[in-house]
Amino acid sequence: MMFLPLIGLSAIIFAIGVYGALTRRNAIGILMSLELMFNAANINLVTANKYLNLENSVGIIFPIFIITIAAAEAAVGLAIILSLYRQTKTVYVEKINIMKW
Amino acid sequence: MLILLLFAVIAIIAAILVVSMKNIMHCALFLALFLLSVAGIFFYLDADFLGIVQILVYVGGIIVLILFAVMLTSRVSSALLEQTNEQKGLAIAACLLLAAAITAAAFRTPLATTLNPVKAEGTTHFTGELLLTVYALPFEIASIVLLVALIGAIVLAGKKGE
Repeated sequence: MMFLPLIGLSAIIFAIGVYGALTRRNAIGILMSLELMFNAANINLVTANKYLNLENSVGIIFPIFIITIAAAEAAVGLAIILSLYRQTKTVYVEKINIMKW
Repeated sequence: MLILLLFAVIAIIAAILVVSMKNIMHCALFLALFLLSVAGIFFYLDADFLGIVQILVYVGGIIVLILFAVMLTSRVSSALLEQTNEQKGLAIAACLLLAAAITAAAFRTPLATTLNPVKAEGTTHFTGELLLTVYALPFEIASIVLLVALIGAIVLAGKKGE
């Protein structure tokens, strides 16, 4: 029975993603850490679908929508980073403070 | 079982390298390795459609986007800069606590683990059927979200003054 080890794996990957999002200075690095967290959630859902006999196999359907939203998020996020880079010539988040006043 | 263990170890090592490497380009490449090993875990867990979508959308799409963004925004000197901020120790402590809390919660929850009967032809057939019957409305909303994201990305990153 690999149910609990896989939940532990997804918890570890989620924690690594949180660490990356907290400590990265590069905005693209923060986006990559977000992808790690999305994937941890997907592993969790797929594991639950295999071992818990979910109704309507929601553990397969939900990750599809998560991947869709992650793709949209990556496109918009990277567009925002490119636009910021054109304005401020940096991608380091502590230097991007144009909304601070 | 052994294959699952191999993929899990590769995923954890690649994830740690993604958040700790100095060169952001190498981070993106290790993110690709991580996503591929997650696809392997999906294949092991009888989610074949999801594994293929993972490889197509993540490794084929998002990684290429990220690599483009890295190449468009990095400078020659940026590989020498410090990539982490000064909250490193505090962040490590918080994340260890978070992982321990999630794992403890999972172990303490009484879940009736009954193995799902494996379908011989895989889950793709049922996934498609469910997407067009039970989950038809979320499916259509997702397409609108993708359209809005496409237009938004063009508006944000496109050339100004045209």
